[in-house]
Amino acid sequence: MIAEEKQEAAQRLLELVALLEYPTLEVADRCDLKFEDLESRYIRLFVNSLGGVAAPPYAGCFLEKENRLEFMSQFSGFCLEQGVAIDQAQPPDYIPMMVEVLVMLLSGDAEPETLYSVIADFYCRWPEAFASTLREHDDVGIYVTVAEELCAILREIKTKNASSTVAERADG
Amino acid sequence: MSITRRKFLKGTAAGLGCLGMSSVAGLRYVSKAHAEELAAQKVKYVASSCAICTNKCVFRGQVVNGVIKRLEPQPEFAKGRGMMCARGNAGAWTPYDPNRVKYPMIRTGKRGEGKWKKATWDEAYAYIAEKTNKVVEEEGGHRSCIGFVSSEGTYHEHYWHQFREVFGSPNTLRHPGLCLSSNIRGNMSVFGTYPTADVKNSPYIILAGADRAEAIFTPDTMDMFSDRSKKIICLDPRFTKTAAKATEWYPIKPGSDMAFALALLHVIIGENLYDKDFVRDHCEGFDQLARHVKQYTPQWAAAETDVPAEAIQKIAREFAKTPGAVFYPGRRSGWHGQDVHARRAIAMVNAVCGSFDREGGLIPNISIPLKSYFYEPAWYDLTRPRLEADDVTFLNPRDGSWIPWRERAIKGDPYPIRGLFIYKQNVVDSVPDRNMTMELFDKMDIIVSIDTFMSSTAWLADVVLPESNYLERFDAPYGLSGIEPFVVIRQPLIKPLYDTRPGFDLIKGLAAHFEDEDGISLDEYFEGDVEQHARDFMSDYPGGLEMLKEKGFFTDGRKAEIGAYRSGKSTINTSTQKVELYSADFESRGLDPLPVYRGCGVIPKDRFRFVVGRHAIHTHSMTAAFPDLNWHMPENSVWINTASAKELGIKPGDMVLLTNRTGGEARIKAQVTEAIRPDCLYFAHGYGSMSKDQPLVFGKGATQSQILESHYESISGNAMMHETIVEIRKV
Repeated sequence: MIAEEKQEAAQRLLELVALLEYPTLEVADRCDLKFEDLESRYIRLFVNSLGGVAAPPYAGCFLEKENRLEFMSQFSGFCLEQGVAIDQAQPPDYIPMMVEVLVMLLSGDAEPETLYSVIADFYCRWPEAFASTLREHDDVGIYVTVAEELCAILREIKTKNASSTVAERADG
Repeated sequence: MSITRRKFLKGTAAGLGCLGMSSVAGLRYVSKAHAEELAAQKVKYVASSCAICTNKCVFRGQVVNGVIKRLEPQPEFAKGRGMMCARGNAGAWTPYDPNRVKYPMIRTGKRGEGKWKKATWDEAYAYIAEKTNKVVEEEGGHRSCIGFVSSEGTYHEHYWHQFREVFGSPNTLRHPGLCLSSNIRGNMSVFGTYPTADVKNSPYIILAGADRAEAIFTPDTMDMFSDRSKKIICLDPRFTKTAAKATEWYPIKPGSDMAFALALLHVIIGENLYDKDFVRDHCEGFDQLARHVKQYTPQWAAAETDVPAEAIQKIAREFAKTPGAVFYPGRRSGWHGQDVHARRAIAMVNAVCGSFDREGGLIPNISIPLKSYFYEPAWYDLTRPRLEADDVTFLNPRDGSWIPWRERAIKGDPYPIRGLFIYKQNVVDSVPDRNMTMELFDKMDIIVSIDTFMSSTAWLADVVLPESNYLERFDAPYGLSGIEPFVVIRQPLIKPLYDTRPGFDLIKGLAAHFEDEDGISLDEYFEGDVEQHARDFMSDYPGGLEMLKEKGFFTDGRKAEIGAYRSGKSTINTSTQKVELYSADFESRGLDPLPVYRGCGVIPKDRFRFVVGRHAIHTHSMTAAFPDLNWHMPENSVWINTASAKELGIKPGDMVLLTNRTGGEARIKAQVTEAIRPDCLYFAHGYGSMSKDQPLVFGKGATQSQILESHYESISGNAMMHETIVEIRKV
């Protein structure tokens, strides 16, 4: 993945983080929704809701066979190894925060191999399930769009870094 | 409605700026790690104490890369017996629960509709203050129109009481009125204290309804059941885990424990088996008791209790002849209208056998005295007594009595209650007769709930304020009294997640939005911080706070001195300074000076007595929604005896409807079993939540508050949990 591609991916990911934040008037306007309506939808999906939070914004909640505490601990350990500090007011698997970690790695000098393996280790097993849950519960499709875009970007990063990794190995 | 990708996914975030990890613009949650953060990479252990039940077992929390991995028992903490139960272990997950209350929330829809908006702390406080001050003004400045509710377990509760006191309302309600106040009163009237049974050293233990193997006070269970030489007599309408472990089990008729105890006294005194020296030297009123219990023969008791007369005689003789035998005073909710007298009768069995202040018997608790938390009081000209002041003989002014208080609050008798401030207690699921609680809630102008989870009570509140989880807070030292007393502490394993606050900060912040009659902001009554208070509490023990921080507990090695009361070194805390078998105090208040059995009522045909009880993996209504525990029991079911079920055509797994005499209903699945008397029904607590934000228990099974009727006994004010008569039918 070349530097420009990394920067573009990072920028797109940062957009997604902003959209996953608590709604603002500007976002509501862009969705052609009243702010109160968007706020109530956001609360239902991510904060508290009828029948429980519909789509918890925590990656570990979408893992099928793994222990969430273990996943969080491993991810947190990985971040520290990379010299990245994460906000301790959120569980380490808070999806917007995980996306920002990726943004930070893309913005740095992470090798393609590192990017490929971090995607494989921490960003592969939950995004589709997150998007699928949102498909079920997000009746206006705002956050489904965000989740699907996230899946697309992650696939792209993985693919491009896999090719880079293979190419580098071939060159070597 | 559809959103186009192009329109939605555009330009919200700030530009990235230049590349390089240390200078990425627009990041909200991540940054370049500094030494402090890098240190979190290590495995660390933090000593703290559990909050999932009342026992407060000390543990070492293992934190890996800043994430709580597990809670291990602190092996040096003797009270925990080196164990950490299922509930305690399950606590490790609680900070990360996605359904946790994460931010202050203000209701935007109807109560219970589930529509909320996220608020800042100041917004939430201001909203509460505006509503509350309006109500107080409408009530002519009487602050007693606001009721304060709190519960055991958080070491910040004293700050809540402080807030209530400086706010100026006498109306406070705590958990003992739903739990053990009748037990405390019964024992106090006889021994002047509520003692602990020395089960570790007792070779013979009678347990009347105390389900130690499943209850929330678990470590002494190890003492009872790990030594097979101990003889354990279990009286319980259900074949509980304790019954399974006991030497003998008698499915006693609910409400007749007092008859059993009186018959024991009849045999022990009648056959001259009592401890004559102890009675002579330390008891008051033995002759009156001896005359009184002549009427209570084992044959009479057998008809009342369904325990065979021969068994009663045998148990009485064995008990009196076994040095160190103890009739466990119990630690569970009140059962029936004569509960204080039943506890007195049990206390008297111990007393006449000298099973007080001796090894194996009842031992008065001692504590490690800490410096008191001092604060200036606020003075008000406008004061009124608490609502139910005249309804209960021995009303604890801080605990109150839920049932009569609620009844008066609904009627506005003698004055209206317009708001409820609730700290931790899950009123909706815990106070009997949920319909009445809902009626009370409907009358409230403002309901504030402070909790860590969206309990049924929080769900029905107007404002929910999120307290930090017990694994995230520093809680000041807390004294645990007992035969071997300790002081425990809580320390944060991780920093508080989300926008939550520890109790002290939360309460002080709320206080800042109110003033007293002189215009002084109520937060000015709160001085220092929890760390400072911790140092003050422990100031008499050099090195004590350091030991607390290192080990999670403090002891100076003291233990209750057995024999201190017999030798006269300590004085029995009754008016006669003797163990009072005959209570002149009760007599002077128009109460029976001796326990008079008045029957436990007849259950009409086709009706059942509903009994409450514990479950081995749950604490009240708190833990059923913990995933690790819920996995073991996703739903509760009503126990019905096989023969009764057959008569009614009920099969295992059938959905049934329980109906009480006051309109309470519960739909629940049937569990057909031999493990309960044919005239009783039971289900575990904690399910059937009204909160749709507790998905694992919302609509699953039933909660006891749905079916329990409103009854209380007027000596201690305790709610009566075994006075509910129900019908059951298949639906």
